[in-house]
Amino acid sequence: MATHTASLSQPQYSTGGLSAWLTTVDHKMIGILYLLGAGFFLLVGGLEALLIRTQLIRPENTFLVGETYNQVLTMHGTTMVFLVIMPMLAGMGNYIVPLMLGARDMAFPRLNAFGVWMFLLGGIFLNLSFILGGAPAAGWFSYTPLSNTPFSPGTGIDFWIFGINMFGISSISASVNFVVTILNMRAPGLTLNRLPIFVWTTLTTAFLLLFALPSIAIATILLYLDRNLGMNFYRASGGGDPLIWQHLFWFFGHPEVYVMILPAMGIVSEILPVFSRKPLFGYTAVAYSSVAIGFLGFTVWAHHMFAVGLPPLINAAFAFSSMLIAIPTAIKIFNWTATLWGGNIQLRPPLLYAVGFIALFIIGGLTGIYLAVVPIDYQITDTYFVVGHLHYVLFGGSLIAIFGGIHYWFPKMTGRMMDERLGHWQFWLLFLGALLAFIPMLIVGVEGMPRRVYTYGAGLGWDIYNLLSTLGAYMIAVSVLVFLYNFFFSLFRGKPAGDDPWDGHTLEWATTSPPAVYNFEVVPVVKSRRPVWDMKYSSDHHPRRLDGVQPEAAHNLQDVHIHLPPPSWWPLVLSVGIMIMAFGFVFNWIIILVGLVVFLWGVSGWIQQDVNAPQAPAGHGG
Amino acid sequence: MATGTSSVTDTTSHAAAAVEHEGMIDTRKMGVWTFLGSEVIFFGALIVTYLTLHNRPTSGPTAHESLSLLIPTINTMILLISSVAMVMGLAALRDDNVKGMIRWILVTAGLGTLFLILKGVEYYEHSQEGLTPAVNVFGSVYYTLTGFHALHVLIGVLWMLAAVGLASRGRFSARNYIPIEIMGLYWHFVDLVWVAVFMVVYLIR
Repeated sequence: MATHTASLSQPQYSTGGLSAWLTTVDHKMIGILYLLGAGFFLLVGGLEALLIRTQLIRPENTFLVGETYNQVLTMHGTTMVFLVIMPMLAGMGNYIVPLMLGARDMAFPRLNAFGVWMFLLGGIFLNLSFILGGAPAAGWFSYTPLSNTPFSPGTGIDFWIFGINMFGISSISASVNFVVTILNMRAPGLTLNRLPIFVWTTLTTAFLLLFALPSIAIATILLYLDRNLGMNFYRASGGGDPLIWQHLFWFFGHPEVYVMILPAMGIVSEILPVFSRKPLFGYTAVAYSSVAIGFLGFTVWAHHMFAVGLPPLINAAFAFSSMLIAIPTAIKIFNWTATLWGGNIQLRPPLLYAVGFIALFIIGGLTGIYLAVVPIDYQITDTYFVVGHLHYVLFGGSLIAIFGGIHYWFPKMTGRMMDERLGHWQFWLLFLGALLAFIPMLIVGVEGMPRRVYTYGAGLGWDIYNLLSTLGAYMIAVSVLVFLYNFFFSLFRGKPAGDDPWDGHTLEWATTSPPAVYNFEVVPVVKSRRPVWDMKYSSDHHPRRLDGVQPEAAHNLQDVHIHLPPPSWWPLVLSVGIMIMAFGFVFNWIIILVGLVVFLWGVSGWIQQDVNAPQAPAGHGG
Repeated sequence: MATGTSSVTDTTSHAAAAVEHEGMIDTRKMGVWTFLGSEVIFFGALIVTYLTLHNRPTSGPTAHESLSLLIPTINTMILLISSVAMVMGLAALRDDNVKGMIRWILVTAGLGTLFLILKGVEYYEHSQEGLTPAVNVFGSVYYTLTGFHALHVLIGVLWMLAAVGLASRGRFSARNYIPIEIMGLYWHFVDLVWVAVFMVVYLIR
């Protein structure tokens, strides 16, 4: 931590030790918890992917079959969506967005901690299903009647239902926090039209989650009631309708796709200008097209259901709205390309990932247009073409951008650089691995291989494609190993980064690396879309230098009162209470009462905690 | 624990409010508005499911046979009056009349409880007539929609009782009224949802 932080008379909370992590309300520590948790689940979900691909390496394989295969397949999808991509992006948002806003924390620090505990405990809860009676096995969208009794007996689906709802609670609380933080906590001068694009996309994503998640909450609760209380929502024999599930699920499920891609686009929009040494081309168009994608995202859900037999007019309307989304998406692609055009390109790891994102995401976007055309969709729905398409969007898109974001912000979070040579190696393994793994899926899908089958016959012409696909998956695994080595090596041995290693232009580069617990000693004043470039490159240093405290200002700072919220156990208690209740809903009603008691204890402590109490001097810190 | 009114003013917005902006909506209020926006979709999804499924042909009691207007109409009146009581409570607090505020909040909580009791009576009558959640799809959608609303009423009542407990320890004042105001926002929202439920479930049978 920089030397001048000690000159502040502010109380410091301890940042080390287990209890500091368990009680933290600091957005940066919470962001790191999100990222580490999601990183762990990335290894779990990746391992599941390798199991699946190993089974499919040759026809008639018997490595992983039947129900077990279905469990691994369901958990791979659920894990990657809810436990990897969403929390990775939420973690980066948590760490970076308040810094970009020039704020000292999120609007609701304890709610923020509650969100991360719901995610971590929810992830543990869902994965415990493997040893507590079997994991869910109905695919990541758990269509009824397959997911209903009697077709899915056992507790797997119930674990899935409450796991999803725990992630939902996590995302709703994080989204409320993001919306209020972004609208209310901006530094002076940081108008909406000067917000970094990553903040714009995080804001849009927060609204998407707020309006999409209740739909899957309802869908899953109704499924639980059907399964456990004998109700009839999805049961045709009792007058219900299995199709309701598909509508409720995809009303969530399609906006969810944009939840996973928009912040990734935001990361790319931050990286490209910095490494092209010029401003983002068409800022306004990029920002507003993010919002447009968010709006349109709510009007397209039935394109997942073309084959179920909706009236042709409905299908046509949804095909039309789906294709409309190509417009704002293309606007972004053109603006990114134009940002690179004529720039002074610095080919360092973050830029590689950003450009790799554009390349692979274009494949994902174009294959999406095929699926939006109803007759083509009839032909290729539920084939490996869909699997290839969604992996180009979520792997080639979101995950590559996430790796880019990690390379870009690692110096800010740790104060050390990641090794760039290893970064290049990892990128090429990842990029070529993604082509090798998923292009054959597109081909074999067109040739008719259905998704979710655990084996296929020899002589159908699918062997070579599946072999290539599996080799690609192994290649991606090697790339992740390179990343892990780079990560841990750099964490301890990396070159010191300094405050601003990339010569960035957003406010996170105006503070120390890692930032002090209060982020900024002096709240920055923003005069353009690139405040830190203004400070570095314009003759006008008014009103303050941000990268160091001027002598006369340091004197005044002694009296500045920076209030930081005290640590709190209550978010964790509350989350544990909800987790116990979730176990109760799966296993036994008595356990619900136990969880309820813990939960109410947490609420009672939470509302009585005096968050403005004077703070005891910290043992260590600063 | 020090719960002097001054020390707990702005219990949440202290954390990072870089700069106070003039005329800006309070952080906590904006948080609750945002959350209620999400709740609209929660009940919206339930109501759409209800409208889609409640008249599906099936055996067992139908909406037209089972539902009567008497108790729901009384309940509508109860909730609307309770919203007025909530407004009076907030007004009393803004006049620094904490005692008056506690009284009005208790009236609101009492009306909420009365609503729940009458809802329970209604459920009991239904079950006597053979309408249970599992009997057919109408039973499922009816109990689930009204049950989730009743759960929200229950949470509101508990929230009010907790607020009364904190108020009696001097937590709120004319300068620190936002926590009561956001509780009111939630309560009015729950009332509004009931108006929608009343129309959808009871008036359009």
